[in-house]
Amino acid sequence: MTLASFGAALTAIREVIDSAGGSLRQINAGRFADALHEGVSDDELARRGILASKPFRVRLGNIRRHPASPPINGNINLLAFEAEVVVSRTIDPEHQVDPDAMAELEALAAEDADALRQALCTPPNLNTTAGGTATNLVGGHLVYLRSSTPRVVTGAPPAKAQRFEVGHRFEGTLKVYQNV
Amino acid sequence: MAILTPQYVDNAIGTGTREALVGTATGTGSAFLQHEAAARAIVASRAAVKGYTIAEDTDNDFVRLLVLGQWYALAGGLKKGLELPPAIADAMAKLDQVAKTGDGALPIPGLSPSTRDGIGGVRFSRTSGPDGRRQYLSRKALVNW
Repeated sequence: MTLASFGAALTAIREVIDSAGGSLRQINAGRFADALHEGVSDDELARRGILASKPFRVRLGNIRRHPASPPINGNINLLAFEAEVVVSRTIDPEHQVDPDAMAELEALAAEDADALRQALCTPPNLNTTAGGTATNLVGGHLVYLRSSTPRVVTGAPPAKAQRFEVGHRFEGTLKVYQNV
Repeated sequence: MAILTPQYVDNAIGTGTREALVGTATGTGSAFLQHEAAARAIVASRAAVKGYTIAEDTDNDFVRLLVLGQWYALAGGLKKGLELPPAIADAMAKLDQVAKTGDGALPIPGLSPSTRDGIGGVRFSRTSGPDGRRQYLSRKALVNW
């Protein structure tokens, strides 16, 4: 059985975000780092969130058969899916007391949406991984859906950093070359 | 005069982290040097309790580690509100162990404390004065007692 190449697609998406992958409208290397993992403490993520490279993670989900998919009997089917890119930034004590500093932080978080949109939605940035593996993403790009409003994800103990996250949602279509 | 250099801090916590905490500047007037001076003063003060004199530019590795712990606490904890990484917390705990009163205090390798200069230490001199107290009891004075 030949299965959908979600692995290659996920790799290409991460490379475009993390390491200036793709060939058009690339995100500057160093803006993001693939470092927002489960199993890491909030304290550690707050430390990562102050670095120049903001930690992010990509999750694929909401997978379903694409409405325009050829009949199931054919050798090509199309799967639609959503990709959520979550970016975390750290709110340090200066942001907590200075409205201007906080506004600047929120503006940068909003700017992330456009950086991701331009890089992930421009073909052929997601045609292949950096290693040359085909992703089978239709068009070699994703379609931008929306970004969430920033949500603070940690409590507010006195004089301690907090984090807030923004989820950027995209939609994509994957070609599946299945056995006949 | 400094105990920590940018190179030393970078080797310990990484250039990216150092620059995120205090910016890229490391010269006169920089946050890096401000926190370094404060951290050095804290270590010198705590170590003085045990009679150590910490030079302002020592390259003693243990002292450097103690200063690094204080530096991170000032740069990361005070300014950025970050919890200390476990290894930094351990470096800070070592300073407490150096300054521990009673038995079991950690010595600073390479340095010899002058216990008479530490808290509770006594310096005797031939006469009483601002720098000492005249010794009344001695082996000689106790002969035939």
